[in-house]
Amino acid sequence: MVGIVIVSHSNKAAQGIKELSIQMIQSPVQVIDAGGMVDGDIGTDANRIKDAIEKADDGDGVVVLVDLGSAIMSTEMAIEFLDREQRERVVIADGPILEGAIAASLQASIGGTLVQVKGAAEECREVSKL
Amino acid sequence: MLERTIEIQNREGFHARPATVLIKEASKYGSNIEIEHNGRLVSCKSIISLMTLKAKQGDTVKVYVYGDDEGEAMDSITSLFNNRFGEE
Amino acid sequence: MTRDQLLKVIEEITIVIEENKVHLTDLDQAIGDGDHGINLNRGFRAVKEKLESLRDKDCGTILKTAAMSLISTVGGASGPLYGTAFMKAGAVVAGKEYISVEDSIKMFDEAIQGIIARGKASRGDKTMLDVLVPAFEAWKVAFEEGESTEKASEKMLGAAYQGLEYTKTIIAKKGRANYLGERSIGHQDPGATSSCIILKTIVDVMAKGE
Repeated sequence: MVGIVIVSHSNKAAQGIKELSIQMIQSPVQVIDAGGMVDGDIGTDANRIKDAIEKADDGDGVVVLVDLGSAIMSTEMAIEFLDREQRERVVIADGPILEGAIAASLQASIGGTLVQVKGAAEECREVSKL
Repeated sequence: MLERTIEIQNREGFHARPATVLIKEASKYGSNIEIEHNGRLVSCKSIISLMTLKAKQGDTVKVYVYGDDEGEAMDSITSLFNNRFGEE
Repeated sequence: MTRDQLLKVIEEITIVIEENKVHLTDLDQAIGDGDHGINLNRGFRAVKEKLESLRDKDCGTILKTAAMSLISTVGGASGPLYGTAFMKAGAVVAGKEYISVEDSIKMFDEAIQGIIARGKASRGDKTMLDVLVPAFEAWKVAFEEGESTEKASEKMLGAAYQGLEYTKTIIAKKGRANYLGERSIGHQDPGATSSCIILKTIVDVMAKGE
């Protein structure tokens, strides 16, 4: 199953989004949170993100959801730390972190491919809320 | 192709949770499944579109199913709606 | 520069960043999210703690270890940016215990290329590159013209400070400051400032060593 990693500057936000995703999907999903710094401070940490990706990947690849700015740089750096083979199957979704995580998790839980899971997260950009 | 008009019975309408249940069920079938509400046609393959359908209790939706297993799929989906997707 | 001097440089950077923590944060308050000094200070303090265990390691390992530490403790954009810079520079001197002039030119170049690839910024975007690129060019050209290390350092710092002044006059095109648009004009970029501080520290430590 495609794994999902949530990268936020906030540890609590990442954990919360993970909890929400798991609660909504109700069936097994591989969602790992990688928010904030090791000591709980606000920020992003490429080493932490790399560990989360490795945890989330069972061979089917990983889609990473990010919040803003340096989360992307840290994630790109984390992906560079992976071995060549694994790097090929990790992608960053260009979609909203929360809705994207839920849509991606659901798609992954019904057996979506890496492309489909990434697509589900990115589709969330288009939809209006109200 | 099969089509059926179904009423939303859930107290809170067709919100994200029922959408999730529906998507999971729909994925078991090979048929194409689409839902129409207030002139908006949404595919069951589009997770976020389904989650934001905004159909309220009492509203009706039209379900279109097309494929080899359309009979089974339509019945199963109809049951979901009628059982309020497992909610009160 | 010897390995021991490199360790001294890093130690000094930590001290100087701490001294400038408030100044850097104030600059970042004006056109960023107000945490540059705090973040860098936290990052370099963590690096300092690793220095003892690096006393007998080669320059490449020292810089790579510093990079990894920065990545995991800085938190903001400077983490991946300075982390990449240190890592790329470290790769040039892997296994070496002495950094030659040629090495230093390559390290500087690789560090800048790393920052550009990581942050996708260019000179003129009002970032650390506006200090680092002119500084590198001055450093490289000075040696091509046969100058001494002392003279090259002087020219490099001159170019660095000029670049820093220049950032005041332009609009930010990257990072949080980018959202301020024209209001970012008149403010010195915090990342460019910390880069300048680091370059100056390197020069100061080398001058004492000679």
